[in-house]
Amino acid sequence: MTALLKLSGASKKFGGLVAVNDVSFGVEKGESLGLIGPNGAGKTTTFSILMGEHRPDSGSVEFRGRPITNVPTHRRVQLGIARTHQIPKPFGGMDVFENVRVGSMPDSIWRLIAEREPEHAEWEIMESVGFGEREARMLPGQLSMGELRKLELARTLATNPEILLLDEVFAGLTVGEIAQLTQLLLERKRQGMTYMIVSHDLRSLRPLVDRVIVMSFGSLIAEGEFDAVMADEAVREAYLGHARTEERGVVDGTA
Amino acid sequence: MVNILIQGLALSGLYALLAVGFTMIFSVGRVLNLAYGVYIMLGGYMYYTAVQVMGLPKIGGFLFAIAAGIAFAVLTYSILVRRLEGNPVAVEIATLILAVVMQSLIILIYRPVSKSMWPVVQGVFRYEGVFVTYNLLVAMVVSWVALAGLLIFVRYTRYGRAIQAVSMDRKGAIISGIDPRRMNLLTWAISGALGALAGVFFATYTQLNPSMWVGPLIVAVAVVVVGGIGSIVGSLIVAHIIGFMETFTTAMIAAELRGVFTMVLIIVVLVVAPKGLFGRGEL
Amino acid sequence: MPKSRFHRSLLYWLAFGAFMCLIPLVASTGVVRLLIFANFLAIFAMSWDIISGRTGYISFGHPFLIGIAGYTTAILTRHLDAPLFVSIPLAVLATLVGGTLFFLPALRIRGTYFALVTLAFMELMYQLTQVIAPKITGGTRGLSGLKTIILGAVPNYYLTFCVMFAIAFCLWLITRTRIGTALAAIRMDEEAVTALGLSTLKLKLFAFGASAAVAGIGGALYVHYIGSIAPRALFDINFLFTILVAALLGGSGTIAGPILGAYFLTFLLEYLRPYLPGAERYFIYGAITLVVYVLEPRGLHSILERAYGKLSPIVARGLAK
Repeated sequence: MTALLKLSGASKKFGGLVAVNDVSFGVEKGESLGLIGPNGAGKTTTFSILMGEHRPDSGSVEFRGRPITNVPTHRRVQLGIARTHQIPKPFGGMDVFENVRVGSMPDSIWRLIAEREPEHAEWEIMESVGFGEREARMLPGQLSMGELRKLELARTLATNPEILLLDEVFAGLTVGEIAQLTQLLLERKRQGMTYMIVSHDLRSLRPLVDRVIVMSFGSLIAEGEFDAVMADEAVREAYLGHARTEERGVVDGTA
Repeated sequence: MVNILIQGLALSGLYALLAVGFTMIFSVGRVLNLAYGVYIMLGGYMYYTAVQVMGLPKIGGFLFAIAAGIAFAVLTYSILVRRLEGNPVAVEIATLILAVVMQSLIILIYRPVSKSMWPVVQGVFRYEGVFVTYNLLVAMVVSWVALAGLLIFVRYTRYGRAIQAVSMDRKGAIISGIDPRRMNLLTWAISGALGALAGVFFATYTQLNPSMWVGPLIVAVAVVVVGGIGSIVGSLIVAHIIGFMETFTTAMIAAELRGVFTMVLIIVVLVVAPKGLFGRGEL
Repeated sequence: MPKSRFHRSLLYWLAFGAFMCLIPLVASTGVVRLLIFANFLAIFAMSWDIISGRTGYISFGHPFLIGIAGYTTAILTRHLDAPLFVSIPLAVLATLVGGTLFFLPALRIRGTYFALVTLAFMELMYQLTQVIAPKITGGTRGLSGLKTIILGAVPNYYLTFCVMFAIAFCLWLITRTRIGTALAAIRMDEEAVTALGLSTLKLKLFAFGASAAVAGIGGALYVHYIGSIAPRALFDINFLFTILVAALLGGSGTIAGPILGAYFLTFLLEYLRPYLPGAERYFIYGAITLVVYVLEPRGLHSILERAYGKLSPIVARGLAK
């Protein structure tokens, strides 16, 4: 079976820092893959390579069996890959609903001008993340961190992705919000959505993923089911080693 | 040929002085001060007023010009730019509008006609076909002295190093107890002084008129853009490239075309290498 | 609800059009001539606003675009004796090509640097028109004695007003669709727009094209109204300044703003004429704009809107009594 999204032998250097080192993996359709690892392991850079925001120094990206290494970001989104960001970046001057509307826009000047698309698809997405009429007219500046994450998710869902790359979706959320978000993501998964999720919050990640891969210092060090990977010696080493470097105050290099 | 080289060298020296104040503001505050040309114009007009209208000695004219430059620069920063902090595009628009406002003020006071200035130093240096006015030579020497002084100030004095710190890493500077606003204000004051000083020589090199701020501003922009962000040495090199190219074009092709090269340089460099040819160096 | 808002806006447009059409019946020729200039300025300010107010790419080189149109039609009619209905469309076409040239730097740079490139374009054009082929361009003195489209203040008023009104109305119709939102999104965060699957290249090209076309129409008509063209009058920071100030003072990012700003400035200029006859009035212009810009970057339009928002409940209450 060919993977829906596949990364083969990807490497990326920033100056002297090897952010991603010969990483290969695939995400099957309908699967939910967790990507974990200590700070600076290269998780976010991996996402950026998958999205085309960074071009890998070597290696390739395939989507549905077709190479997309040289496809620009917005075309990848149109093909059905989308990501959320660690730090949500909404359009500051627009209300929540308009933000979501931008996500569902067709990439055609003519259609943007001539078509008067009904708004119910966007309202459905708004509702699914728990936004109502009141939130719709709020500006991003008035939202809490949890609501900003929901907005980021809603806006990304509006691009109608086949595979969704989620970067630290749980950071800054309350326990209640995490539970709500988990429900939403699981619901979407049942409907066939494919995920790749980066999270530090392993406890929240566990019920969401079928399989995890672990990165450390740019390299892939383990792969398998959640509990098996957590028991892995190399993984424990990477996390404990990470704990030690953090004590020494080494700053995250990729963010 | 030697003549062209000497002329080019002298003009480049003047251009380096014209540009350095603009570069400083950009490197410390990360804003493009399009009202910078006004300091140059103000310098010229104030010197003219002091020396040719009020009959003060030349040194008085210089002091008058520099004081006006500092005052206006400090006002620009504290009244206008500080309010728009964090929005460099707004600063760019506002300072351009301010420049036109000042241009009209000059017209209001001095009428729109051009005025010619007496050279600061009379006479022409002649030696075996070499032919340069003493005025331009003095401008070059003053420029070198001012630039050397600036480098020493920035590298070796407490305030200079604080300014340098803000230009490298604003947040880091704040943590080390430096108030970036004070450093900005100081930078603007120095920039106003340098602009006014350069303005006196520039006005004697060309002439006084209310739109004289545009040409030097474009040279300053080119120097910053081509030299890279806030590098004093890079600025010096580019000032010489522009100065020599203008002298060559005037001598070899046509005097009217001398500005064209500068414009093409700005466009090409910004499109091809937006970070400048010399990158971001030390201040 | 949105439908009724649309209808109400339509009503405002109609009222504005009707009011402006009635003006020549009561106003003196002087005022009418003044309004012609206001109409031109409004066209230029709207053109500037499509790029700069919407997408946030500040253009300091709009006179460059206007100049391309002006020179194209001036040269065609003067030297080749082309009829206006041929030369004006060609001029607009030439401006579109020039606008694309203008656009190239926007692929790589943005913010303050983009504004500088456009400024360099304008100054380059100023120097080149004087030096390159002065026989064709008329060199420093430019070309004069150009054909006029129609004669008389009132017909010219109706012509310029109709063109201005048509442009404004079309722009309003276009920008109130989703493309208006998309262009505003570019101003706020270009990367995010890309990440949502939209080609910012395409959107920017559209905005630049629309801006160039409007500048082209305005520029070509302007040259044939005043009958002459010269580099100093066109590629000048003062001209750029007037356009910029009209758009900023009125309120950028809107359609009504630039029109409001253009009319306001033109009448301000007229009332200042007895006191400040020359270029000094730019002093007042600029000073007012700076104050408004620093206090309310979105201009008079936004100030009026807020005042209206505060007043209308009071008026409504008064009427209810």
